[in-house]
Amino acid sequence: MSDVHRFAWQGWEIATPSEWDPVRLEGDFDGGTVLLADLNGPRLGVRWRRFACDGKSARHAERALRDEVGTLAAAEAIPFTLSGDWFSCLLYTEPKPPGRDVFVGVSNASNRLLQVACHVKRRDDALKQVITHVRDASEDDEQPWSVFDLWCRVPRSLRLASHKLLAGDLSLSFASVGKPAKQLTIRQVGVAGLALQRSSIEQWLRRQQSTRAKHYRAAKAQDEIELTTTDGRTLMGVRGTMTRRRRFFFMRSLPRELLTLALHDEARDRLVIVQSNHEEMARKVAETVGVAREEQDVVRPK
Amino acid sequence: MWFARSKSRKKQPSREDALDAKPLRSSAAELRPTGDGGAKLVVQLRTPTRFAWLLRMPAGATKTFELDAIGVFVWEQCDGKTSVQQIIRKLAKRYNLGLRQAEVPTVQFLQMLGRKGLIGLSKDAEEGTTDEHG
Repeated sequence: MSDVHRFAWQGWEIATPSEWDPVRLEGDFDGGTVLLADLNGPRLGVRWRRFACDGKSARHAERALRDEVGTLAAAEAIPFTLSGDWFSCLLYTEPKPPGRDVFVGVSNASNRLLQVACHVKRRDDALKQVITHVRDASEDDEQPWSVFDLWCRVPRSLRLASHKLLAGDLSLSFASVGKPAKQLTIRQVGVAGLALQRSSIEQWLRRQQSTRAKHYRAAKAQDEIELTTTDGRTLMGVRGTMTRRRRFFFMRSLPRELLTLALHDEARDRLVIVQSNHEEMARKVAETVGVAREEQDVVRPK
Repeated sequence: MWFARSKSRKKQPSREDALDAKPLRSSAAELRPTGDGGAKLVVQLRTPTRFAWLLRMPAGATKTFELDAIGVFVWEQCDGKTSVQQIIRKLAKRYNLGLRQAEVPTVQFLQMLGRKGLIGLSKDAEEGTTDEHG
């Protein structure tokens, strides 16, 4: 793999060639699938599911592999050792490509079974290179999220509520499970140079606020802010607040106030918009947007 | 039976074929740059030959399309030598986008240009021959 980037989703983190992008993202933390493809077609499929902690992880892994490649092929799978908290790992390599190489393993951190299938056209070590860097980050205080060129770190207590990944406009929305309910939306618009030609950053802020206009009233005042990311970049922008409309006083599930930050990341030529009901969290997350890109150079499979 | 004969269907190009196709811009379109990095694409309108007496077009009537910087970039790449795949890669590199993020708008934009008759897609195109494609 010449150029590698990180893909992080629902606590999983893998290193893939930079030409592989997600084309299908389904499920939640407990179970789901991801399909990565390059311009020529599907390359990598990732499936995960949580199972009861019954001490039968090896059996779950064997069954998953059998379901994927069949009984005869599953018998040819070899045990595979991964660094970290992994066990019951099996690797099946297609003897006569084209076909698919399959890895199955159980993560002790989240008690989830991970299944990775790589479509191989000729004999190569693409899957081995991908799984060498697979990581279950669900136990970290801050979970990494990396999809297309949106990278950020979000507190573990937040779960992905929805995502909208349009070309040039990526958005992830999170919500906490317990109380007090926390909400967070991260949006990244690229290319900022062009986006700011059409509308000013204040207008982008207003536009983001208008998505919640049914329940919230935006304050007229907008303050200028400046944030420094964890890797030292400076983000300039504006900050606006919204207050819950009085007629919705009975809707206690809606936070009373929402904060929106619209920031211009000049170094990456991206517009970063963060909306949350928790100012400190919003600022902390905004400071991590785009940081993983620099970290990705550390992960470079041989 | 002749009346039941189905029309011969054109074979749909595969994804590889579509990505290997080389778009060629129409020689009838004129690009007029605006100050902000974008441009206006001006096309001369032609009077339809069939109902010319009914649908009279004023002489020199034109249709204008407004392109932003990315649109201009893609338009300039439609030279009949650069394939769709190469355009996507160039766009992704220039604007620091993922390939998939660059692919979607590029393909949609090229489809739109094709529908308007502003480009033709062929495997081995030469400049200035897209009028009959349109």
